[in-house]
Amino acid sequence: MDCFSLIPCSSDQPHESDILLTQTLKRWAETEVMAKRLENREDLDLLIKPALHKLFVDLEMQKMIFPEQYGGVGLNKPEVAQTLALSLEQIGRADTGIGYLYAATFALCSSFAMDYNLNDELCKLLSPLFCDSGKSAVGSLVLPSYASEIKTGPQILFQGRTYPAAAKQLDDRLIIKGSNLQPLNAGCDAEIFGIFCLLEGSNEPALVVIPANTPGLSRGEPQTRTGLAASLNCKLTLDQVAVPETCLISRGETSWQQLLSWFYLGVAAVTVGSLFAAFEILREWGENRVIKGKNSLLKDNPLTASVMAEVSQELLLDRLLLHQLAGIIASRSLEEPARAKKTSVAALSVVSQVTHSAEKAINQTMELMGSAGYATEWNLERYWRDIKTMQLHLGSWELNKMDLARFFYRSANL
Amino acid sequence: MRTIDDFTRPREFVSPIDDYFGRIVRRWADEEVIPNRRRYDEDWQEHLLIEPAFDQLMGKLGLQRVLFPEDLGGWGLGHSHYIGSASFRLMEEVARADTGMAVAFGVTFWPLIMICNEPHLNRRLCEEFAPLFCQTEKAVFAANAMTEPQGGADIENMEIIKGATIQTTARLEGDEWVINGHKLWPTNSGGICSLFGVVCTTKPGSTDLNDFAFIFVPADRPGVTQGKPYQKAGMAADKNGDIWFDQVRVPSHYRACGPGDDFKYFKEVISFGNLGSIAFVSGALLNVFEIIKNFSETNYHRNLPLKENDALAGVLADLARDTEIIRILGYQYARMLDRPDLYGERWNEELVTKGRVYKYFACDRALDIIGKVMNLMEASGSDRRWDIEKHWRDLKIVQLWMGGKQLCQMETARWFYECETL
Repeated sequence: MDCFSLIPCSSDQPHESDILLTQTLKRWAETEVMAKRLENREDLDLLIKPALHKLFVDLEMQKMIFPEQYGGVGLNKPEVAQTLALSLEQIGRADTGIGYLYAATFALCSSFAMDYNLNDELCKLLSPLFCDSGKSAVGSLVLPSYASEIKTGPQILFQGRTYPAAAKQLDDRLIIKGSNLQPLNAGCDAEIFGIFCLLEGSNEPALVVIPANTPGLSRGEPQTRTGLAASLNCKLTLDQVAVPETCLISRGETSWQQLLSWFYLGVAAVTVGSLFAAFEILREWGENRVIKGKNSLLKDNPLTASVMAEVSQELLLDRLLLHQLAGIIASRSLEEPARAKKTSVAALSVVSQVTHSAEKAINQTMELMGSAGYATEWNLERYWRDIKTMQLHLGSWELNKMDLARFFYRSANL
Repeated sequence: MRTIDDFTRPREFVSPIDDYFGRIVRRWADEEVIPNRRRYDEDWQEHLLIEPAFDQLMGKLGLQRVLFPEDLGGWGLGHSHYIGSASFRLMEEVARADTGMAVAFGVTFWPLIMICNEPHLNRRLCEEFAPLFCQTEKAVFAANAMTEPQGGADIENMEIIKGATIQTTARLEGDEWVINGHKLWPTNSGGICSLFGVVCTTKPGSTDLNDFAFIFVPADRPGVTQGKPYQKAGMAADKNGDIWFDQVRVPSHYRACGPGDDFKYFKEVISFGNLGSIAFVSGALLNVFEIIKNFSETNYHRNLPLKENDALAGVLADLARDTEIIRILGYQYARMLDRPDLYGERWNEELVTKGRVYKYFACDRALDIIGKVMNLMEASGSDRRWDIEKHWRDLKIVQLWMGGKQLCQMETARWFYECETL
């Protein structure tokens, strides 16, 4: 039985187009990734890049959100949230890292291509990369975070975090500078970067998109990380990078809340998909392994069955939360600033809940599988590493909790 | 400035050589391993970087000799009243640098415990095997070949299974054992082992404890085949693979302790396995403390070092708490193994069970708190340059091995609640 049919969600009556899309993505997952990974492991050239190209270019996922007049598929209304969740479940089941790249790219593009934010000039500027180039195109996000040095003088922070870069308007251009920027994804090979800057003069957050080939943008050495092999990352330096004023996507907190809501929805969906994969592996394991000698399968032993039950419970609850969030976003909750703020808080809560829950469930699955859960051959440990890595890229949970406290308790000094 | 040496060691019962051993191994860790360890993941098959560090520790510094009697070139730890606490310190210091190396190093002693420790010293086998370990400056590895396909480490569920599921057979033909079977995943397999201690049955399906046999098999015997190492989530320094024994013949005196005693003293190996596991956790946590202390002093939030933020300091405090408690727990268990006059023999059910309790507590706490520390570091938590993620990956297998958490839970319940059917 298809494991997706075991776990209900509010999208159980999807549009016919969603059914067709998820079937296509399921085929992609099984033929382009899962069938090949025992042999090719996490090899970028042999497995990940070809699969990514197939998904982004051949299956046209990278142009999904672009309006039709710019060569896209035209799914640029918030109702696409349900489609996105269902799609990323399938992609995450195959490879967390590829799903993560798609979630970040979609979120960045949503900030200028979604109908409530439609920026024709930017769509015109960037659509050739995503809709016409025949190459896979990934968007990378750079968000406020910790500082690597103490600054002198008064600091302008964004919710306590340090801006990664500063932007200055000069005639019809923006000049951006910053060093030691840590992208959330794909620093090494993204085609565009979406960077939250401090806009000098206004003291507002500004989301700026910078094409990767812009003079002055340089990339550091590739980083080696715990997981997310598909997302080859590195630090960035912006040395007086000049972009047209058009590249200033938005100003103010609302754009931050909108972008993060889409990103968190995507990451939650990828996580649920990865957890589906772990669940499938565990089901097979429980059918074939014995405990206490020859006569008791793991699934029939009360202790191990109870742990298995907890894993399925986490998956079920995570999926319900994910699709509830998709429903909230689909209801156009991001359009109006007050609702956007509430939605972003909900999205942060859901993605934190889902990634922590998945971490716990995959940990439990590994415990039941013993050494096999740890061996690459069984394909479980990759999800364990990937989910943890993705969770870390959401930012410190301790600081994210401050965002929730500010919203719910009006904490003024956090 | 606070350092890892500010975490408590129960000074009233550490061994007289504790500080000396500790200093030697720490210097080795700081010079030979820590500068190179983030390249170990790519070295998992060849061990081009890892092997020289092992040679230094086990061969040149001579730590692979510690269990053997002094007159055979060893250091006599097998008859010391400090075997537990000295072992704990050694393993902890190695694990601070690399848990995989600590596991490979520690497991080398598992089979040797069966023949080097009092009161079941097997002098004849010590004399036979001591030169292999004591007359070389190269690292020599031994392995405990126990886990089998299908049931995995269920074989370790000794109190209830009593060896009945062991598929690897030992048949006595004249004055030789003939061994047949398939083992998988032993630490120090994957081609590097020189001496196996093989868990066998002399009568398949039997629950008679006399039929449980622990037999030494030199890896170069005809009929022994070692598969390639498995690729894993971490633990690059510890090679694991399949081993096949096909009509392998060894002298009859290669059985470690004899009928009944093999089963009895094998449980001592389990006790030391649990002690080692706690030491691996403790050592890794000490290094995590060092790393996060540095990180939290050189990264800033609201223009203050991270450690000065109340919420983040809460996580840092939990790490210090868990490290302190796990270390004290480990030393306590070490002392319990050192003092059979107070706590009973190392192979008795109570000590084996309590070892399981401490081990699974330590592993669960460590993985939880390291995960939270990684989270505090944001994306840097998964950046291999910071090394914390390596400890997180490596320690996971320490939690999973030796039967994993469920076996620990069942043994604990069985002993404390006197369960009769578990």
